[in-house]
Amino acid sequence: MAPDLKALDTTRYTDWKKWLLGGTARITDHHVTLSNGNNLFRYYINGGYHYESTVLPGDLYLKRFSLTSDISYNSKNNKLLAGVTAIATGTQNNWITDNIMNVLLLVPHAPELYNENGTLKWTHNNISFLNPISYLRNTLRLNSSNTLIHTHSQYKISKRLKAEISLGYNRISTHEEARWPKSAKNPARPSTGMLTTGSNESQVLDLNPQLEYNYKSRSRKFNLQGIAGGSLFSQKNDYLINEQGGFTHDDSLGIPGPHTTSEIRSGNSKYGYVSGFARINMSLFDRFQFNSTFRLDESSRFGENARLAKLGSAGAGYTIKKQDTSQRIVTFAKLRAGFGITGSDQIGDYGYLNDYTRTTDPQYMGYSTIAASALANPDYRWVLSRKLDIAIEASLFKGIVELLVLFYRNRTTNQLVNHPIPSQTGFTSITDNFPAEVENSGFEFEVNIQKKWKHAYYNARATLSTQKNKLLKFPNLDHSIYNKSLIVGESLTVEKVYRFGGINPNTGMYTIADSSEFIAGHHDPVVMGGLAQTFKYHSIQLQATWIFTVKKTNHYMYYMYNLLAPGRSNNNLLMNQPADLANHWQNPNNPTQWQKFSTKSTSQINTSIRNWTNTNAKLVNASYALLKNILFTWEVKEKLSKKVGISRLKLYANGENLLMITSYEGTDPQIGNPLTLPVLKVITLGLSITI
Amino acid sequence: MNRQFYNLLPGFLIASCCIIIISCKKLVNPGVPANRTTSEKVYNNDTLAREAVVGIYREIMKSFGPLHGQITWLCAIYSDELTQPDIMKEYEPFLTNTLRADNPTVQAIWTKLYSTLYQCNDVIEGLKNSSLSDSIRNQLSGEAYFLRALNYYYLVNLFGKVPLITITDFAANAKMGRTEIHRIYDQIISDLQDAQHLLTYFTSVDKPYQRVRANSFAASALLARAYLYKKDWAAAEKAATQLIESHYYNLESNVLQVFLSDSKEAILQFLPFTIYNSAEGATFIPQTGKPPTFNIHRSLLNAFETNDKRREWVNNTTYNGSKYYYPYKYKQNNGAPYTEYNMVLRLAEQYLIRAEARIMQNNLTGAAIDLNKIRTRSGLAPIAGFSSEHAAMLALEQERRIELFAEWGHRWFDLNRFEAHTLPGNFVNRADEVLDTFKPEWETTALQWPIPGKEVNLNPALIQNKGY
Repeated sequence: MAPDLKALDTTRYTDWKKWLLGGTARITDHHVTLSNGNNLFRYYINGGYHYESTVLPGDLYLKRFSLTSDISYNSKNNKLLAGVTAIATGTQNNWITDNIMNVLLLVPHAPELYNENGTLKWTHNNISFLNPISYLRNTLRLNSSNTLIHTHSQYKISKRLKAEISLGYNRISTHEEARWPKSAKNPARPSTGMLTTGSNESQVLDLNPQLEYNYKSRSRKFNLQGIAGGSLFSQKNDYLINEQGGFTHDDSLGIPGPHTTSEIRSGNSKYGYVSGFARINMSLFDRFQFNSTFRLDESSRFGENARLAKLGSAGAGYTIKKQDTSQRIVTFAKLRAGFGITGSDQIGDYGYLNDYTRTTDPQYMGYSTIAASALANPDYRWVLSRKLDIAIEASLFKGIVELLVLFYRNRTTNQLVNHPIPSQTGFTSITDNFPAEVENSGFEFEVNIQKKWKHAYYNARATLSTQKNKLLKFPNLDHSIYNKSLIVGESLTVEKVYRFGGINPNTGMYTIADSSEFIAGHHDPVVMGGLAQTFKYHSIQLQATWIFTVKKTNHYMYYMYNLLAPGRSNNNLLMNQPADLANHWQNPNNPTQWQKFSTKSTSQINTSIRNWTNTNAKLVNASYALLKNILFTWEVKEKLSKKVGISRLKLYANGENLLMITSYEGTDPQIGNPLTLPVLKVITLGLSITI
Repeated sequence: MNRQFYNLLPGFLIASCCIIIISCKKLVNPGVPANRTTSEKVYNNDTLAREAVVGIYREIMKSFGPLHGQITWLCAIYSDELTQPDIMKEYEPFLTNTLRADNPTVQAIWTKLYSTLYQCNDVIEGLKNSSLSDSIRNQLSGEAYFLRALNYYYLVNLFGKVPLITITDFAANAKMGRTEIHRIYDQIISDLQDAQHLLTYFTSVDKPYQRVRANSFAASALLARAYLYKKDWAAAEKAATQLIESHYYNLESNVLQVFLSDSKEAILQFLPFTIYNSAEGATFIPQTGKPPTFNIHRSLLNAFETNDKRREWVNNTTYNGSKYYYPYKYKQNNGAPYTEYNMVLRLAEQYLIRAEARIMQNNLTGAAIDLNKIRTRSGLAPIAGFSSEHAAMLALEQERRIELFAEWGHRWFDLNRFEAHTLPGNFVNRADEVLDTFKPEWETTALQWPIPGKEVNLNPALIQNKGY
């Protein structure tokens, strides 16, 4: 018998799910807007406050203040246009350092959480457990402020030539403080309080000059547009981290003493991206369109010999039917196709340098020390994607129905990924180009229906997309580290596994049907879509958005089996199991889906669990349809609102994620892992006043 | 004013474009930030190069790891030295010799040993093409050679054949398969010979009395052990003699002095700097009112002779009416002041190495002299002489078992390299013979730990050990 059954009071019962997720999150949002202007000069000022708490216990919240101002100017002769936008936001986030969702695993007969003297209880009759309150004491406070100034100016040099320049400056300061007080630690092990503070300041400068030339023939049969421009992006980061430890009293957490330690790390990084481009757009007889772009991009994230990428694209369009609303059925139709090469540098900075981390806190014989912290890879290159798309756009029935059918195919080579590598290299991963070619292709359908009556309006937008991910090429796949996980011709998320053989009714253990692996499916969404509808009648408006996805994902038990085999106990009492498992195998006469429980971790039991987790049993249908959003708005008639001195009064009710239709048996098919907080249902009531 | 402004604007735009183009080159070439160091910088600067070498010791000692406690207690529960009052999930597979390829502790040990090896290889490579003075290069690369040998010694004794990696090129290293055991020993021996010649007799230039960085004698001491494991008896005897006759090191007459920071028999100690003195002290000494995490196996307790002073290295506590004995070589279970260092190599082992080498060379009288050095220090009666090689080996195994218990896996490695006492053929070796009697799930395939499964998946050239 499990020791916890003897030592603990089994009559105690706590519903940890209720304890953890039983709260109600509150959201408050306030906005005040001031705006005015004329043809030449306009301004807009908005102040906002947002507060959001969570369903979890404890004082966890997010607060955000924001101030936006926007000023634009237009010269009388319309030659000069200039504008400035300034946005300042401040965010304060009170959170906790660890994933408190683990408390869901705590056994229901866990002891009371506090000792009589008010301290946290960690053991009961020599059975130790993880006190869930400790999660709430390990707090994380995140403050950030963001200042953004963006200016944009445009000047018409002549009738055909126009110059534009935009300049943006963004500064983000973040300050983080994580506290691990001694009182949140199990006193059975020697431990002291810890405090980590970190701050980071990031400055971004973004400059985009551009020169545009427009030519129209007198007959208007030939239009030509040429654009030459560039963009320059520079980012600087400075950080300072101070890890302190050794605090024996929570009251003095953070106050240095004779036995406290402090390790300060600081550093900076720079990222630069420069690009120059030339683009030509042409149209002939309003029927044929051509465009072509050539660009040279350089990024500081690559080694010296790999910084430059030559990229470009070309496209053509043919208008089958020009816009003509007198037509009864097809009022407009166009066919277009394009091809291009794009590049990506989405990796960390300085990956081409060997990196040594210096520890300044003198520790070994009073010396500072340095150690290599990552493998350098001076040779990785740009990620290149060749994109092809073909589309038909049409407008039907006097513009009531708009249609779009699009086919796309992207082929990506040299993907930059953090490769797991054997740790005999000294490290467990390295950033490198993926030696494979991967194709993503699919169709997108979009239908937009819009109809107006005298007092009513209806709009529906339906989208449907199919997608397919396929590994096209992988030289030497058999001798690579991916030889077990990837298959040429299949998706990157393919599951090549054994076939599940059900439960052996005599032993109560999982079996596999045969010893050869087969392709059980993959984790990519196959079809995704949505339906957004708006209906308006007089001053009442109703909006509803549905989304749906067809896909497969891991059964929630996959995550549970990976944590702890059912029946096993651990020394923190985080060993509760899903209610479904109450119906596990107990004797040969009751057929069931779940194998027998075992208090042991024998190789037999573990093999049996792998007969489930490494087979198609784990991959289940996770398709769902979700009522993402439903919004009801009522605008009070002016006559009525004027009586209380308000020019416009709007009331609204908004619901998010209210309804989900799915056959998935876990918490959320969008997430899978039952120990991750699922997407919350949100109901908002609102009021908007214009004076 | 307006007109003037408009006339100037295009010029202003063109000028700013020029500035942009010039600054572009600088922007995409960000250089090396102040907090980053490159290999060329490190190994051409005295201070940084030294910091890289001291960094290896620091990485070993910054938290529990294979060379900082783990090998001691894992090998002790894997063999016949320690067990647990309450069996913990983490240790159960070690206690029952039922490790699996996916064991996270085995994975962590493999990863840590190879990550330390990378640091050693980086130092050795970096100093080869360095402009630093010979004395500094010799000193620092000598330490790196020693530490590389130390890591390979534990890898080869835990896992058997392992990839022999001596460079930092990850592309080549990632594909390497397992190297024959004798070739790994060749590397260990050649690294230690290099270290022996490159290093001085002093521990370090600036703090000569602390033995917390490897010196030439540390290399000799590990070399003596490596020769012994390779059954090169004459070389083992010679290397051990070098230590014994050096007069730099002496056996402590009081057993309570042996594990202290100023122990005269310490050849190499790693320096603690965290919240505990030694990992062993922090782990073995129980909290008040708690049972010890590990307790000494009855068979080891019974193996102590009466009046053996080394019983001072054992302590006990009573919990729930049961008396539990635990290793007490280290007596501090908390942090500063640091009075006990992590003892890596000590002179007593050198006497035992020489005794064994002498037995195997049929110098039984010489062996008795060496064993008696250890015995008399422990207050035991000296052995008059041995009737046979077999009798001498029994006495040697007994003496090693007591002197080196719960210390760096000595017992487990000894069991694994000694022959079985009973009729040869019944058991593969002494480990098979001893563990078969009381570990119900014991299989001979458990003589080697599994190569971590993740590594086997990532590198098809790694072939798993039998039985996993």
